[in-house]
Amino acid sequence: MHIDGWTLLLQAVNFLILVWLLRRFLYRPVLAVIAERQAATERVRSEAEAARQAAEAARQSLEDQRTALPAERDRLIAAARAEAEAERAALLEKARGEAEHALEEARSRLAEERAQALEGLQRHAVDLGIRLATRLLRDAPAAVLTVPLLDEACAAVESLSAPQRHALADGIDPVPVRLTIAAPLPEGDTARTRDRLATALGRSVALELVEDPSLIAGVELHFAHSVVRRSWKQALAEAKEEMTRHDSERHTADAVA
Amino acid sequence: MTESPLTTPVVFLLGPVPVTLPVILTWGLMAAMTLGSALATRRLRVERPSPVQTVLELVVETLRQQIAETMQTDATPFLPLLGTLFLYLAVANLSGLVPGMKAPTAFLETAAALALIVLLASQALGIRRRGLWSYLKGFAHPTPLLLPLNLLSELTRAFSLSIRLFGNVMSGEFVIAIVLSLAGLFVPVPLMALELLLGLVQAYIFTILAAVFIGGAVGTIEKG
Repeated sequence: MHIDGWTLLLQAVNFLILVWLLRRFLYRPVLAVIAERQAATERVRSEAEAARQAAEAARQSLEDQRTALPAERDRLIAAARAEAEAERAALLEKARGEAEHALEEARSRLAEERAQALEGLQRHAVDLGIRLATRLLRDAPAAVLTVPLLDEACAAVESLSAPQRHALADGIDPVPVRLTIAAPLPEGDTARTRDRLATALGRSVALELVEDPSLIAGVELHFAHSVVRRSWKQALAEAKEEMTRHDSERHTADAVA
Repeated sequence: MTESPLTTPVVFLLGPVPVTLPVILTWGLMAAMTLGSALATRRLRVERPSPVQTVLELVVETLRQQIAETMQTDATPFLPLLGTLFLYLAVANLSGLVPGMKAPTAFLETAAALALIVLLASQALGIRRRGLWSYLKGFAHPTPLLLPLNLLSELTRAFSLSIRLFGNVMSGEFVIAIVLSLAGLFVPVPLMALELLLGLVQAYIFTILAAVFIGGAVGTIEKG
């Protein structure tokens, strides 16, 4: 058995050359493409991981939002409730004000209507009373009611001052006086009246008798420029006016109060 | 069977240098492997690799994984040496099955050259990785008394590597030649199938042992 040294050396060199050649033409390119693929895979994996983390973050964010949702909902509901409560209170207040206003108006209208009704009723009562009094007074004897009033009228003329009485006479002689009566007077009363007036005026009196049933009872002494009234017609008219005026004043005072 | 399998026929003389048959065969294999690699790696693509590229990547990645598992370290720095060792051995062993061809590894010089390269590479890599003094101290481990035996074992391991490879390949080819000369054309086919397996196994064994020796030298695994 013999070993050829040259062959051994050449084979060793050949092998080393083959190592270099395969390293150049096989390992380097194949390892490079494998590394490139691994890098690409790693890149894709990193991107997938980043996407996964992003998805996880999004999921976490959604989870947080979902967790916070009941609190937010409660807060919104509470706010809406408070707002609704405030609105309801405002509406109630407004409605209450409107109701009070309407009530006040109704009360005022009612009071006014009542006052008007009362006034009408009172006026009607006054009219009724006046009519009743008129009927009663008409049925009474003339002497009973009219004569005292005639005396009262004469007394009124007599109680005037001298200038006033002079003014009534107006410088005329005889003084024309129209005596309006509700019913015929006894003859003696007419003469007596003429005398009293002549005495009071200091002149003769031309008395003209006029009958006016509307006076109900009483007399009216018509001078040239003045009238002395002493009749139930006038008394009732004054009473009516007085009562009506009093009622109006009272109603006005009630309304103001 | 006209010549001894232990002789190395000289094809021609290049000055004083005799160019023998295994050298010529190795040149042919080198040319074929280099040309094949250059052609196969011409258009490598990251996306949708071709079937040839897939096979190349599978082979290279498998080699890297096997070396890494054996050496317990990153195999990329050792891939050119050990990967080429396996590929050359596999191609060379199987080339003997081609009619008219003879495996270069069936010659002792080839196996010895490869074993010598493994021996020198393991020493060089061990010194470079661990430092000269630290590496040399490793021969006196666990006791300086074992220094001669450790030094001897380095040489005997290389020797056993070369003899194992040479013996297996040469004997396989020799047996096939004998059977072929005795029994005719198709009788040695089962033996050739066995030789096919044997060639790959020998390539694997040689490469793994080389990885173990280098791994032991650089300190990534326990020295055997």
